[in-house]
Amino acid sequence: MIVFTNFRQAMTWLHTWYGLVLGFVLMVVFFFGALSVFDREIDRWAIPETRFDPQPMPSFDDMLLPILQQVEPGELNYNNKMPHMHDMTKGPMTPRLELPVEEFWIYTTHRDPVLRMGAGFGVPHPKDPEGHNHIHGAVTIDPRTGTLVSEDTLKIGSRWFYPMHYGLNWRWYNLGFWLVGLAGFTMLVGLVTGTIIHRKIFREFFTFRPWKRTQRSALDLHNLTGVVGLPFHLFFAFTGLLIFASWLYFPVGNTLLKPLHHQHEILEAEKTGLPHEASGMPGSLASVDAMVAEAKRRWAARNMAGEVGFLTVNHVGDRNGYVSIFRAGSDRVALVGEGIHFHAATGELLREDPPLSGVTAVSEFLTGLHFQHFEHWMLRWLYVFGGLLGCVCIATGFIFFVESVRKNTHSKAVREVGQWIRWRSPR
Amino acid sequence: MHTNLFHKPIREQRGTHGTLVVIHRVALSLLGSYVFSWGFTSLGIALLVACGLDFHTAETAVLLLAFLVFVPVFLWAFSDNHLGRVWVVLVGVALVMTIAAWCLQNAIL
Repeated sequence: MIVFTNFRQAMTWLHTWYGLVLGFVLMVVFFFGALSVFDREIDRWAIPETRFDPQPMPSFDDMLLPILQQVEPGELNYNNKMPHMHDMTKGPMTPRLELPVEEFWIYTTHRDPVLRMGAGFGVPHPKDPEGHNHIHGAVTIDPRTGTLVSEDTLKIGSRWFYPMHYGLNWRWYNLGFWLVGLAGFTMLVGLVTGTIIHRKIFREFFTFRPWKRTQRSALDLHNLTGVVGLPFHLFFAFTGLLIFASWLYFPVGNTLLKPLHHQHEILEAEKTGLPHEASGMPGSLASVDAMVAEAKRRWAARNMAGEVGFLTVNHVGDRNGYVSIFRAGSDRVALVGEGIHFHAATGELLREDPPLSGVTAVSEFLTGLHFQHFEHWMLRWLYVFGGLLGCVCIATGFIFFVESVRKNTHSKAVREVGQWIRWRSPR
Repeated sequence: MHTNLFHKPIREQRGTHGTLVVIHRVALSLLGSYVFSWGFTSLGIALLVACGLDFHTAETAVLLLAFLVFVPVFLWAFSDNHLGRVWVVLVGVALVMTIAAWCLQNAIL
């Protein structure tokens, strides 16, 4: 039933079977990925009161801090995570509204007129004290007035289409992420095996015979879209896997090599002067607006004047507290960067991040090109086009398969699949 | 009958046993090349850290390569008719690399 006399035959089998089984998932990923290029614009369409121009980050001291202090741990987040993080031998779980706040964050981008921000709350008696024990809460505001805007299902672009394309909105044991990962891997495999199967790739690229029977023209279109989209599809499948690699697909740093990772964090904290742990002593918060002004002055002095993209307050209310300010990446490919860190209580400069190492810069460039939070309208439309091209490629692959089975022609693999389906269908 | 699951090369087989062979082959190639890439990632990171790179740079560098290893290893594993050899190379080498990474980590700490 499955003996391959040569390498190409095995590649054909892989292309056919993996394509058929996971092509449906891939099509969802490509389609919703294409929509995600404009996810925040789709949010604006769904929530008319948020249709205004993007704003620079408003005053932290006057507007954002009072709002952040009112943020509560999310109920869903608490119910999902608290039972796993809390050590039951130390008594019952700390009630949701009594959790101590440990960090604040704010993310702003030229693509979004509304401002999303939130807080991370600590778990007082964690099972794993070295782990990242945070219950999160977030809000969205109109940065012109500081009023809250709906954080609900109306954010159909950024809260439904966007997570659909990398996790199928199926959080149960992260199975959605794993399925999408397998589909992304299938895309890489499909592109490589497709290239091996179609040896005359250059000639086939210029072949399209719409007047021929469906089977033939479907294959022509499959080859055309496959070859035109090849660099695009390779890139997106690869970087998509890369984005989730350290967290989910190859989490060696959180499992096998966790001790090494942890040692690095402690050494890093010593080297950078940014405290890894809270001290347990109370501390205050100086003017963050002054720190933002100083960070902007330092970026301008480096000849890279810019706006704030991401701001965090770490160890909130503790003597070891510090504020990290990152520059928005809207004028280049990588996401936020050039972090500058200040002591929370005094506002004194603790550290300026050095330029990235070569490897990290390459990785940030690749993933940044996938995230596309930069300003480039033409490239974004090309992304949409590339995503839809992927859908056409997969759909024509399906049509070609169905026609081949119907006519009982073509490769051994197709014939085999056809037989398998017939064997299992009710006669 | 069971030995045929590992024996070389697999001959034309139909029915339940044939299906078992297919499942064996598909699972071995996918999971085997995954654990191989896992071993490669762990050992790669541990080696780079031992050479003085910081953990996150090492992790980033090796993860950039992980899928470039995963895909060709998977294609080879699936195309090879000698499943015994595939078992030894993928699972055996994966184990060796993972254990080596663990020992190296203990030596560094």
